[in-house]
Amino acid sequence: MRTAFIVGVLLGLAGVLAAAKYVPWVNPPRLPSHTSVVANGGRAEAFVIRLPADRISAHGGEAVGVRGGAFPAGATLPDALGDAPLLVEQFKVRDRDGNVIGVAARHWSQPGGQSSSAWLLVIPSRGALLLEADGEPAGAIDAALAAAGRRPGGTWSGSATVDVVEDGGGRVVGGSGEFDGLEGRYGETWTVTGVGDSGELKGTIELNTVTFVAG
Amino acid sequence: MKYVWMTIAGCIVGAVVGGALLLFNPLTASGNPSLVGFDRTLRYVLPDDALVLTHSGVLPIERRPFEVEPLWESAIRSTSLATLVLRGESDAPHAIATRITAPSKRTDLLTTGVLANDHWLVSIPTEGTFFVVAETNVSTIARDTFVAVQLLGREWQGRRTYLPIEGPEIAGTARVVGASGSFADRVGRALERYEVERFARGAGLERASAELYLALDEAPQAGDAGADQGSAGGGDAPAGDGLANENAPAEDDSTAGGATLAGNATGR
Repeated sequence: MRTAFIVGVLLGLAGVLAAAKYVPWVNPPRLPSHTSVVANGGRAEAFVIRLPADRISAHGGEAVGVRGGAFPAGATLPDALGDAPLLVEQFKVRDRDGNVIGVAARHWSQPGGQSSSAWLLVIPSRGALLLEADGEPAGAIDAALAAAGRRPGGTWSGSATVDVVEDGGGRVVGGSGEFDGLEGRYGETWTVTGVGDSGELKGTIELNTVTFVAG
Repeated sequence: MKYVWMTIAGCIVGAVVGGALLLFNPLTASGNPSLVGFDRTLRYVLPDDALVLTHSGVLPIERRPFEVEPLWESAIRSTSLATLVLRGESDAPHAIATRITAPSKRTDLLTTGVLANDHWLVSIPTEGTFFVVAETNVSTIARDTFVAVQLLGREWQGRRTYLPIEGPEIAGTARVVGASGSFADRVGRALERYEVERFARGAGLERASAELYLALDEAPQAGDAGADQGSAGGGDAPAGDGLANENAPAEDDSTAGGATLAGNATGR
């Protein structure tokens, strides 16, 4: 009897410790990566954001144009930051097939009067990509919409394409997970097909990346 | 039959002992890295400084504002996203950060603990933008809050301080990667000190404050870009209380913006 109890204790203890060690406690769903090999080496992959469905939040000053309105309403920058040339946006990110695979943040600012933009792309099942580029001029989307006939403050529908970062003009500065140790380049294209009543953009953002092993 | 019942009873006792061992497992406790050598500090308070905080609804902190989109899709259900206002020495808003956290696949309850991949994108309007890549061990925080208060129903015992970052850089520090402005082409390391002030069984995290300590290497000189990628921070000076080198000169290798407007804009 005593031996059976001791065997049971050891079995229970071993079972719990083995489960603690070997059960995959964190296993986020992973969708197939739609990558392709480019001719001169490297791996190409496109990430897509659909507006307005994938917009999580946005904060910026008046100087940055239609994208700078606080979203959700009320989540405004404090005065000390609201006057600065700054635009912070967060989105859900999709693969080429339209499946949500991660979340991303885009920061645009003008330190020293020079525009810069940076993307943080986090795909929980794979890792993160850190992207950086010369930023677009303040109000670049507004200017494209104005050229396409939109009146300031009004609704609009049509098609306007803005190569915010020309293809290959941005830089992959690092990564984590399976993107660790990679470098590369990227392009960023905004295709706007409409502006709603409250100034929300409709359209897509495409990030076309080419990554390769550093060194 | 008696032997079977005794074995089952033993299994239950063994499992309970195993659970207790895991709960107080010293192998998974957060480390205690040194704050020496960090020269800049940015602070924030939760929930006051969170402009936006969203997740799928499983974390013990309320989403804010109420209207923010939850992260409900299966691929991002375990992820949280926050937009934080970071304060400098004078306690005035100084920077804005996006923080995205997701559980790490390296999580193992026996040896490494509950790990999270923590990524920051921080913009200081007058200076530039940088990334922070961290691996965070939340085992101790989870044990003191979620397990003790929410699962076991104990009262919160008062302020507790945590240093949850454990990598991926040397000495258990996070990696800083410069992106633009005076941070361009610079690397460094970071640590976060986190103090939970109030935690309740029903409401979850009610108040916490945190400090992000930063140490960046020297700005690259002209023609020296890309060199000295390995060194970061260092020195024996104690962590400063504020932005000690806020006015330090720095190279700015960024170039002016170059967006182009494609010529196929049409509309009405």
